[in-house]
Amino acid sequence: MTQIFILSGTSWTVPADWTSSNNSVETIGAGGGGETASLSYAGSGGGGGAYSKITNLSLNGGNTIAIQVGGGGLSGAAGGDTWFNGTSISTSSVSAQAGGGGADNSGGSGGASVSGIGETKFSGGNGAALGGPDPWTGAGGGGGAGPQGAGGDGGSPSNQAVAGAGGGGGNGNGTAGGNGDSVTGNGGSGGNGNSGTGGGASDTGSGAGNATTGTGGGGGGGKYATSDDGGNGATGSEFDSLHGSGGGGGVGGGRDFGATEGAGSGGSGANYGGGGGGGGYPRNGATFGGGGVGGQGIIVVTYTPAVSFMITAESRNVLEYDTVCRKDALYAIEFGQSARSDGGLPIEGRGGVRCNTEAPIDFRCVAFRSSWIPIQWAGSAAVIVNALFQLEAAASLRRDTLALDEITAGTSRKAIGPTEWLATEAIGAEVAVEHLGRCRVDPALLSESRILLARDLQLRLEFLAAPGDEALLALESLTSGISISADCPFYWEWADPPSLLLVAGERLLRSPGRVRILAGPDSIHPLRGQ
Amino acid sequence: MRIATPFAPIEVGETDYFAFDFTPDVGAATIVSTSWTCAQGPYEMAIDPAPQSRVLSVSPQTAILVRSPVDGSLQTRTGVFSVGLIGSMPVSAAGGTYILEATANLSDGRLLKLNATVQCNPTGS
Repeated sequence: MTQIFILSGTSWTVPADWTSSNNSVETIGAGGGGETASLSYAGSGGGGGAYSKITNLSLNGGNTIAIQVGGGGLSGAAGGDTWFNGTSISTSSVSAQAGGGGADNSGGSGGASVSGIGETKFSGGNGAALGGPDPWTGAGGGGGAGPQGAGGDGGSPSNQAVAGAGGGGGNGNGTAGGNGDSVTGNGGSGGNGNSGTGGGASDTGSGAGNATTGTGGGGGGGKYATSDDGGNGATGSEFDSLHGSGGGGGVGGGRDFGATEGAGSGGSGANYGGGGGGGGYPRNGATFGGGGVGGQGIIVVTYTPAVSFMITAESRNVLEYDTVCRKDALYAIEFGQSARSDGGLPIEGRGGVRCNTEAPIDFRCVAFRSSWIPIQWAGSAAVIVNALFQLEAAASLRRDTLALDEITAGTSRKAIGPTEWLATEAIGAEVAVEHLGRCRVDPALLSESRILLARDLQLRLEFLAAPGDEALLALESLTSGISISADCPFYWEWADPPSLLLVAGERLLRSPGRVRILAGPDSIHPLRGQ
Repeated sequence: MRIATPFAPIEVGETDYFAFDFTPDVGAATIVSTSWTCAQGPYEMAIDPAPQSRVLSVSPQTAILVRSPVDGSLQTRTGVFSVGLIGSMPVSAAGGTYILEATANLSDGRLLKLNATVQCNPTGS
């Protein structure tokens, strides 16, 4: 499986190995920004982005499609919607709405699932409102929705003048942020992420805590009557260790009577889709706590790469070729290919790999292409001729490291008498090598086998096998145990040698031989009677 | 050198390989190049305005296929051969006799020649 994270841009090129029958595309809208406190209100939280997913989207490899990855909302502003293969949230293959920005006594709405497009959809958490004009501390941002569920809502001071700030909501399937405590003035705890942990600690006098990395938790809220900033939300790990739905930001603490300092700022919503926390209200009436920014959106593309294997050959002889490979390790893999030609016409064979599990498979092979295709091949091959005589040949090429190439070839003939030919050669990586073997048996029943391997410093490999036999004989080739994985350039070519000329016996005349050595003067000659 | 035995007759319009086997003469040498001439025999009544054009192609070979007279199977015969593709005799040449001569340039500097006659028969004879 290949997984691609798209974090920016307005277009995307579909990979050449795209498969429309085995893929998924997931989107998360950006989080809204928390509100900066004003003379009228402390700041409210921004909403979290929504989540949408589709599977088996039909696309053509190599095409370029339009996308948008929503940017996180700045203070008080909504985030950007995220969509894939289209030009708007409503005219695309899959899309997710962004969270709204926090406003006066009004938390930003979480991105609505119904506004997006997809087979699986969840809404973002709502940013919390203050509940009235009394609180000095702000309200928490909502968490971004993720593949496991909706985002948690932000926590609120609930219109209590002395309450602490609310915590940020957790990410998809996380919990809501805690409300501020109106008795102790402590901030609310951040909501836990989808795994059930990770919410940032509330501020009890020593500062608000950030959410734990990788959990998707929300940030903790600041304490009343402090200048502490709210804790930041954390990115979840639903997609991988660095990518997931984001928790909402905590809220900055406020300051009231008896102090002159400014208020704390709201924590940032985490990537991807977390809403920002609101800012606190300051005692000095001048340094208002800023709203935390929302986390940006994301597109996650997951697909199983297409694989192919092609052999093209031309032969004047009848040719049958069949390969079967099976790997029964932790996961069963089957590979099969067959090609057949009745002669005279070029043949073309295609094969593939089938895997019924989610185990990653990296398989690429193209033969008879002039381009430099990275291929490694290891296995064995056998050629059997069943005509006037039986010929068996086997060859294997293996390359384990950059320092060693090894080729082994062998032929055996079972007719008048057994003949065997074997060759093994190990090749150093920095030396150009050519290996040529030739086997000939019985002048009356000629059989030739040639194998050529050339390797130079550019890692160019050429493999030429030319089994020769009397014309119009049927050839069968069987191969087993073939494994191909991408690593080094490889060029493979296989061709038949020219056939022998057929001459009728009555149109073949043999010289009687020429004798031009005359007898010497001292030699015995019957005509001279000596 | 003239070989007493002629080639099997060729029909008007037929094209086939003819071969001279130089094996007994070349020893350890090999044929570097070969050429053929085709001419009508003396006092011929049949007419071929361009007998040399009946030599379509020539090549030296170290192995050829010959069908066994015993069981009809193809057998590979190794040696030193000069093979010519001869044919496309005109109707006016029917009943006449050609003289085919092969020249072999050997790797040891010798130049050997072998020739033989081949009769041209009408189509279907």
